[in-house]
Amino acid sequence: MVALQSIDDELFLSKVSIFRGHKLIVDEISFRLPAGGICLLQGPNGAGKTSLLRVVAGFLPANAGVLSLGAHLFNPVTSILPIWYIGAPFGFHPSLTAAKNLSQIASMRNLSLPIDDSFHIKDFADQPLRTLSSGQLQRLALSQLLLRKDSHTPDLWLLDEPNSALDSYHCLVLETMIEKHIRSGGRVIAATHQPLCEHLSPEIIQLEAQK
Amino acid sequence: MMLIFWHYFKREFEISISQATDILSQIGFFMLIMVLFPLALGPDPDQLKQFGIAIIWIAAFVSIVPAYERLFSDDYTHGFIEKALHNAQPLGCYAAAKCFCFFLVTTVPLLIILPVICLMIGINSSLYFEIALSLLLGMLGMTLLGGIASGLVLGARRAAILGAVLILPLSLPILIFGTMSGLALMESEPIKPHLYLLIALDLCLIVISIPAMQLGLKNAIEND
Repeated sequence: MVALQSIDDELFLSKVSIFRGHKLIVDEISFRLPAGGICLLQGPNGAGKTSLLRVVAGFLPANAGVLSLGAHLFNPVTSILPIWYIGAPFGFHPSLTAAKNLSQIASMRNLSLPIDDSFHIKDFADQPLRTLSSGQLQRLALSQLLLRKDSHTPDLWLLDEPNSALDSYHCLVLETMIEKHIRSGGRVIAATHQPLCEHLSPEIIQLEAQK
Repeated sequence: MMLIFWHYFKREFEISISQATDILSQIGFFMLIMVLFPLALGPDPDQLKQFGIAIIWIAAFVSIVPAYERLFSDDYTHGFIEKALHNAQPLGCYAAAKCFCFFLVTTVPLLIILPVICLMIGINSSLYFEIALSLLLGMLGMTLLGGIASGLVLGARRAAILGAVLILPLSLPILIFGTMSGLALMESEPIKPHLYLLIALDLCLIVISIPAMQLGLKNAIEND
């Protein structure tokens, strides 16, 4: 009998290797991420943090290794586990306003506005996106994670440098948001150079730059 | 699925409206080609009438082909396509909505200025409706071809030229049946057979283009 896949199963990356062109970027990385888990990818520039996140998001194929959710192969695009990848470029259109961009994302993912405005999007909601600063852009991108849904599903958040352009106040907002998310059974994988959620004692995956 | 298609369509439409200069410049380009032909051919009304339909079709094709390059490239560079992978519907839905919107915002202005063009080259205005209908069908096929090419060359260097080189040979059947319908019109012969052929081409292209675009986009993301 085949066990049914559950959304709370453990996400497991087994010996994942990634090549870009002919160069090995990530060499046999393995880690587990249970529901309610947080994992930080750390390492120098070019160590493959973003590539690894993009593999988990389903944008890049892994050249070797297996991703699984419970006893099943994990295909990020068709998986029952909803994924949010928040990393530059954020997928917004520069000639539309911030509010318009956000409401479009909401409708395309069957989510609803209004959102909890922890990142103070209202301050620049009616400005075209090209006039925003990088910090404001990042706040707008992170606001997607606050869009409301009808049923509770513990999403997988893939955050690429989520706090690189945030001021200290919004860094705290981000940490609070992540803590709330994992307390309710969500999972987070974040690539970061700055400390993030140290009080939650996240699992640290140290990536090395390949020679 | 229709709901998500509609959301994608609405997004495209809003973006197109905010970038209306793109559409205007393309229509300007079309008008310019239409003005250049009579200057080059000479003012003989009979000759203009004879070549008129063919000139309209070629001008419409040449003015639209450079625009296909930006069909997906903006969304690609802004990271929208990869984010759309996680949306509720497959990428084909996004690509279809994108093409449909592009078709409307490029073809409708063309049809609006078509009476002026007909007047300019001395085509009887009573034929306007038939010419517009065949042009509408032809441009739908062209947009779908453009979508396939644009998806294929996404992320490649010199994508605009590469895309044009891919599209123009494939557009020959559309051009042939389109101009034939125009010629039949001029000779007061029935144009329905030509229109039916155009419709058949469009239907085939709808079936082929959506999975083709989906594959092209997926490939572009993976090679990013």
